[in-house]
Amino acid sequence: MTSKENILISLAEKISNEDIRIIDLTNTLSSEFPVIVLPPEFGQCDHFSMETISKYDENGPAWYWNKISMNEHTGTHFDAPAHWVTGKDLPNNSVDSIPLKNFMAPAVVIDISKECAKSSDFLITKKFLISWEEQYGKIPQNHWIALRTDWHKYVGSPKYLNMQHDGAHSPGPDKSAVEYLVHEKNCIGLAVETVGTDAGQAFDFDPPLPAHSILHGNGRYGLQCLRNLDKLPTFGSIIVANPLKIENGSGSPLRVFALVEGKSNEN
Amino acid sequence: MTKQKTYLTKKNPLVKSKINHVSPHLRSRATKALACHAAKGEFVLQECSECQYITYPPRDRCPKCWGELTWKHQNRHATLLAETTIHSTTDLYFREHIPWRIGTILLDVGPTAFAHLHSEVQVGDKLTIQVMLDRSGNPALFAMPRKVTVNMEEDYQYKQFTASPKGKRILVSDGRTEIGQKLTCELIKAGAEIVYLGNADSNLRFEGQDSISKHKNVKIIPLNLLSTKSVKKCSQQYGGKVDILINTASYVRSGSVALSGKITELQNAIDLNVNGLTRLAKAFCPIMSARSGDKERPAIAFLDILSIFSLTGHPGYAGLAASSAARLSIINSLRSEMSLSGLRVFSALIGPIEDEWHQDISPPKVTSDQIAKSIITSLKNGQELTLVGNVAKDIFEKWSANPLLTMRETIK
Repeated sequence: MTSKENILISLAEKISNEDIRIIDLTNTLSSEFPVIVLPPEFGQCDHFSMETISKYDENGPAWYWNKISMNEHTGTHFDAPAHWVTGKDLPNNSVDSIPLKNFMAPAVVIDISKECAKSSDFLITKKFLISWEEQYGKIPQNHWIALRTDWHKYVGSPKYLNMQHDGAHSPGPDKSAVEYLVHEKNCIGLAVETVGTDAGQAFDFDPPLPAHSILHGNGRYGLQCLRNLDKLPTFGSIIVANPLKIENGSGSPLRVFALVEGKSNEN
Repeated sequence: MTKQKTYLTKKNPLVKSKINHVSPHLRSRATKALACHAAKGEFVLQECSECQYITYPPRDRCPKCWGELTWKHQNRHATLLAETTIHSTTDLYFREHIPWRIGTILLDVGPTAFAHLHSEVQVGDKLTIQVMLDRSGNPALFAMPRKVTVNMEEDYQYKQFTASPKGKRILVSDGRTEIGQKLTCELIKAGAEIVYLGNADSNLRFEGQDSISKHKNVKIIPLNLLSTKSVKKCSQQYGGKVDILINTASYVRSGSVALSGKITELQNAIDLNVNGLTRLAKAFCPIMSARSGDKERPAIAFLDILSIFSLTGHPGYAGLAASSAARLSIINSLRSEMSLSGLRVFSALIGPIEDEWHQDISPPKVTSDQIAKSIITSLKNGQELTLVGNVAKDIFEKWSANPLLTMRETIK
């Protein structure tokens, strides 16, 4: 069998010569990277933290390594169904038991960046999605739904969490949108640039936090704190998202990237 | 009237700073016992339980009758009998500070003693005597004028025993809390040149941010005690300018050991209260130590605020108590380490605070205002140990008398 006949060899060649590009969708893990903030009476999400064990010094003359600690939901991360109470009794609901085939799936990118620039509280609804489909084409089955909000551009500024006296203000889906994506589009999950799949004010929605509640209750996944969704085409990219194999883990920081066909226009 | 020092001077950057030296260390155990009282600002001398003879300097037995000596609060009054000015010495510390005045005093309670002299006292004057700690933590008698005079705390020799905020550049580690902000205001009132006020998360607003930010002597800086990188970066930027560092950061959550409370909350408490303190010390103390001998702008003090429950444990705040005990231990180790460099290490032990995290504890509680004012007093007087609030004072007194009983008494 020649390489032209073998899909994987062909893929490797295309990646090598950049006919297929790999787009990094991951933010760098650092102690500065923001984490979700809950009301203070709840347990909180830890920031990433790193202590050097040795760096070519008396603790290890020829080697450098660090001790790291974080929450499962720190930085760019994956949410498993077990993360939410609605998904607690589902089979294969933790990161160590999710079928591997689900870690690699095509994505459809819905660009709501203009709407989000006008309103931090922009909510994507079923009505919006149907109207979007009329303009761009049907949302395919079994895809990651990536919401391009350009929110990653706010990382490093207060606008990212956008915490006000009445809570956080950031975009997300309402119940109708999540139900449409889960039940009618059979989505793999929701992939977002914001700190959570839900909108900042979603604690007050009905049901509260509909993205977490409905996605995970139906065995779907979440990807948060992504970047570079603006570099993906509307259709045709593949997201590769492999969480760490943590025993009974509810989620995991990960290096997530997308495969995109075609040479880059950026030079 | 003492001549007021002019502050806000800039050093000539081409002049090598003086290397820090500390006063001699060779002291007896009895003298160290006096240091413990001096740390609290107490004026105590040994009194013989057999013949009531009052003696100084500290001894192991009564020099008159060989009876047992006990520490007792004494009248601070004395008269200056004689004085001399030292112009030459082989001691590396005092070489940097000559001419230096000392004198012989007659205490009203009996003993005569050597004392360091305030510049305004003369032979024959009535004096008030303080037991002060020097830069290496040794106790010494200091003779002050009986009457309070203008700028008397500005006396050059007196200032070698204190850590007054006046004219100093001070880092307050956590400005997101009411304590951090109240303390900042009090430090400015006490004459601090600038307060660098730490903000652990520049992307999250905090109560009081607007008003404290407007203060012209306050600079809010990024400082997250949970991140070694952040603390290091802060010390790289400001370590050469910090004269006094005050750690106001604290993680407080209610919870017991077994029935309530969580390992994660204990970890959070340890990471901020213990590791955070250690990160600060590791990042700032080396550079502050290197500057502690500087005559113009010396680094002089490191102060930590911690819970009095460090001494006893607390059933409803087990994590706070445990992390505070570790914090106290770290501070004690640091004090000993820094005594070689002359950087004074202070602790403020506080009772439960009137805030949202101590709702389960009945009054009396301390306010941020009380804490801030007590810390200013401790720095001005050079007191290394301050107890803030009646609960802290009560627990400390009982603990000093009977530690095990006090631990049992703290049970609800």
